[in-house]
Amino acid sequence: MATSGFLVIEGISKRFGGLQALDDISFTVERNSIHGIIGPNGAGKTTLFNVITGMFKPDAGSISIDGVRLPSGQPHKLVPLGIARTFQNIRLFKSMSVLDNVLIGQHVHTPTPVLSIILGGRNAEHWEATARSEAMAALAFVGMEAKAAETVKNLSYGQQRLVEFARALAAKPKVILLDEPAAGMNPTEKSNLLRIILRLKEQKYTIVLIEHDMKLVMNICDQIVVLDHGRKIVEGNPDFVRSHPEVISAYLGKGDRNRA
Amino acid sequence: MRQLLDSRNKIALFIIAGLILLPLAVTNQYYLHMINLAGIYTLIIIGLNLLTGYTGQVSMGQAGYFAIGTYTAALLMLNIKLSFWLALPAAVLLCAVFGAIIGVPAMKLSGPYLVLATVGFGEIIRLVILNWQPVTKGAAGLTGIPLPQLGTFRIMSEQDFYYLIFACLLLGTYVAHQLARSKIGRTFSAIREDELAAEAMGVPVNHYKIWAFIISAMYAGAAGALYGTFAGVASPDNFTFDDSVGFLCMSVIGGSRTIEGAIIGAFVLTFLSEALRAFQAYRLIIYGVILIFTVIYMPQGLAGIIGVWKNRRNRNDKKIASESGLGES
Repeated sequence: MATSGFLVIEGISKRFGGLQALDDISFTVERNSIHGIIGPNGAGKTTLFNVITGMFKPDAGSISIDGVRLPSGQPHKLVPLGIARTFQNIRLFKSMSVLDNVLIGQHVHTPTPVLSIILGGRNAEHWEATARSEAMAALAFVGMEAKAAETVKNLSYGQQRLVEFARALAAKPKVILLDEPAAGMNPTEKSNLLRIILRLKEQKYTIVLIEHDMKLVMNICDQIVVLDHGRKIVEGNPDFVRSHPEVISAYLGKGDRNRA
Repeated sequence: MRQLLDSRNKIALFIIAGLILLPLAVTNQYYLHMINLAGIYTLIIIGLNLLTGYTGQVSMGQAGYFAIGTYTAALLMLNIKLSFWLALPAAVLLCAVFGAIIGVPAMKLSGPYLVLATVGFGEIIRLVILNWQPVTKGAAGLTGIPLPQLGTFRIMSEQDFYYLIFACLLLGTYVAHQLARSKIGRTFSAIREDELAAEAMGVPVNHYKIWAFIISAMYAGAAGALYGTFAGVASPDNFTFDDSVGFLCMSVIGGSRTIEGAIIGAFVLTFLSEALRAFQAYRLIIYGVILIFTVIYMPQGLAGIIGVWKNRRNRNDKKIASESGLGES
């Protein structure tokens, strides 16, 4: 099981008009590991996330989780299969309360008993209470339970990131995809985030993250994939990636300019 | 918390009791007629609020559903002598079907494009009614739409209709309230706030959008069935684009994100447009000006003002409680 891989990305290609955003990307993410995806701006990191979460249909290739092939083009069908994500530029339901936001993360895990809802029956009440306690648990995990009743737009940027985190957790995913979770956070918030991510790993979650903060990436990732111009250039553990000449050239722009 | 709920229920019961006794106080038939009309409009606006205020799908075609409801119920009562009590659900059902039909393009369209599609829908319905002479009698319209019969009792006076409309409105408000405060209402709001994020969290957005259209169409259909039997006549002139715009104004001015807002908006604008009857030609201009002021100065509508007042009172209560050492135990 451990060697077969958990989240398997196989030969993903995606073209936007004349731009080859992703070119035959393959890698596997092991269960209960933290997998980093790094690369310069425009390398195709977020595109890859959008393909994994079903928002974009890849031109070629397939993705499977635990041996189940993921459908593409219908993101909502991926949540029950165990995929949840956060967004690079926070996408919360801004005029709703923190708790309501996290409750939406619960959506696929509670039924919607329409008749019972209209009649105010016990069934509806029971599921609402269940969803609420699960949502509160997710909020407690990121330390935001005190803000449950607050409207999201009144929170600071860092707090909003935590709410988005809690919303993803409420979806009870097997794999959490974090798109630049530390962006816009101050050092205190960052170290708090780091602790949360490590605690997620302790709780047997599998995490894939895109991040620009190299210190964070090198500190917590088990494996790192480096993308540049839509291609995977290097994959390995942090030490290997850090000293790899191709990575240095991709970031610093030195190296072989004759490359096709 | 329990106590708060109880006191809220008490207030609701007082209001309902007051409304049951209202026709005893309002003996002026003209005012009662206006109240009845506003009650019928309220049903449309409640549906529109669930669609536009909650789910964020702006519709300028509600007059189309209103027309389908009116004509379906009226024609069933006129042609096959169906009782009102069966014609009403039939009208609601047919509207649900049309709601689903319009909901399908809404999956692909958003913003101004969706608005235009709904405008087109409303106009198509009006033109079909205008030109389908053999069935709808065209521009002449339908006359002599039968009254509802309850056993041997015939609902005919303004008072009788008041109770019929009040009962329908009570049911409609209750159902909408239950939906709005449930998982369904929450999911509708999430779609309004960020469709993509809702989809990414597992919400089948298209499915919910179609249901929002169906629900709003059903409300307008019920309102239509009531309107036909209440007015006794119906013609294509009752269901124009102006009416759709008027409905949207009621929704926004009353407050589109609450159910109370629908009630407030429908009543305020119905009475306002009667008060301004002398300026009939300028009706839409006046609506427009009010609309602009609403959007700028009270985006939550008139219901928002009540909300602010309620919050302030709650905060004061809390303050008093904490100062006197009676905070949450």
